[in-house]
Amino acid sequence: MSTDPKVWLAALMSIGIYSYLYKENPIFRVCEHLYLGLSLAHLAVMGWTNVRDLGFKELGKGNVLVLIPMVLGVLLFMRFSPKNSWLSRYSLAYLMGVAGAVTITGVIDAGIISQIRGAITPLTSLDSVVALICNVTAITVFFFIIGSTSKTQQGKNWWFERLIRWSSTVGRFVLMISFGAVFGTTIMARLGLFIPRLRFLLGDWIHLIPSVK
Amino acid sequence: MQLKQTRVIWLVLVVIVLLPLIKPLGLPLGPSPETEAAYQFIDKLPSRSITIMDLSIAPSSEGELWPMALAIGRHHMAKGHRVIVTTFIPDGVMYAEKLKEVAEKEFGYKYGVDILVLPYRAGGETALVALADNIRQAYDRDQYGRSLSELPMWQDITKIEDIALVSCYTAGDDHLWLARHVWAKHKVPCLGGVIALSAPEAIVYFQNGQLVGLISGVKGAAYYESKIGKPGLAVQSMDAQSLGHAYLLFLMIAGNIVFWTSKRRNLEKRPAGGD
Repeated sequence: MSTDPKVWLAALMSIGIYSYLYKENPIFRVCEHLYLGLSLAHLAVMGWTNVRDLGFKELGKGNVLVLIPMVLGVLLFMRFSPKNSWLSRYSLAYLMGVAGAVTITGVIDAGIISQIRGAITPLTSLDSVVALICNVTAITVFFFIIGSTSKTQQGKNWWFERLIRWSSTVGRFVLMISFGAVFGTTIMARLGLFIPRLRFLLGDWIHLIPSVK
Repeated sequence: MQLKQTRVIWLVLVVIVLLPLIKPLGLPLGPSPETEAAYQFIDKLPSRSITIMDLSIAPSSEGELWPMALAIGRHHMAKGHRVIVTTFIPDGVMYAEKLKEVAEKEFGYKYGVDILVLPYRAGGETALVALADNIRQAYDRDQYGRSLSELPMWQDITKIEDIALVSCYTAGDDHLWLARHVWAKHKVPCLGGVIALSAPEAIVYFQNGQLVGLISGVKGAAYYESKIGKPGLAVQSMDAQSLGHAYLLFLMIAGNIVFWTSKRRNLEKRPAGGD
């Protein structure tokens, strides 16, 4: 068994957090609040380091331009003053504007055009045929106008509407399969978090299994 | 009654996951083409190439991301690549320092010559854009406050195009940012290391050639560890992971059977002609 107090503390905290699986209890509460407090304290220290290094130190060197982001940062805190909370909107507007501008330029190319280009492939393999069918049928699930008329209101395009209806039924299955895949990977991810904790308890704490570094 | 059932389910899961950790079963690892592509790309990089590793890892994602970052870091070091470690989340700093420690102790890397730790930058995607568009302007000091101009490794970097590979290890969207701002704009090869949850979204970026490789979850990490011949944290977890999945699959199937049979029984019990 480990003699390191840090390992003991980590082990007891882990067990404290997992005690919630039995039922809500004061030990879990203590561990939960400690975790949140430590995370926020770490975040605050890192944030302050950034403000100090990129703000105050630069200002000390005579770079007055850094005053602009610093003032915008201070204005964000005006939200706590009901009378002056409107001032924080300038900072938020700036943040949203920059984030939007930065993201949109990248998203159009890498997230839309490249994805469409990637989806259009020659039908030379079974994979590409399946991908095409899945793509088209999944898109038709979101055709809310076409195919929605009832049988009594069928017009001259009834065959087209029927095709869309059939396609959207297939598309619903495609979506369900993809949601299933996402659910499966979620389970994988959660087990991926749980197993290392057990490994830590068995390995680093009670030395029942070899501790791999 | 339901609470008791939940406790039993958890207890059985703990036992099922514990046993293979104590006595490994050695279940085979399935193929992973996207991890293989990542391995091949890194393996072919010339010695002394400069690579960036964005370790946006937090304790909540450590179990999945740290083993893969460690395996890829070791591969880079075994091939003699120079590594710049950075992060875009505050917790990532401690993993960057852990990797630096591995480099120095296991591979005899010299700080500033073979490995460099850049400090955490707030701003997420905008911080990465700053790095991609003008790396020298984005950083002037390292994690320890030393001027980067004093470090020999920094002399060989003037722009992002000097970097042979940018990889990220993230529970967020860093791999998408790389595809958007490093690959799309600068055509610098990018590699994604993601948690299993992000894999369905990230894989299309690999299939479209925007990422040269993709490592997802513990499975991807285990595959990479076995490729570099150093089984570690991920390989040790794989048996437990596989048995855990099998158990959950069994629960899903059993749950569905119970649901459908009870639904049928209720229908049969319902009196004819009324609710």
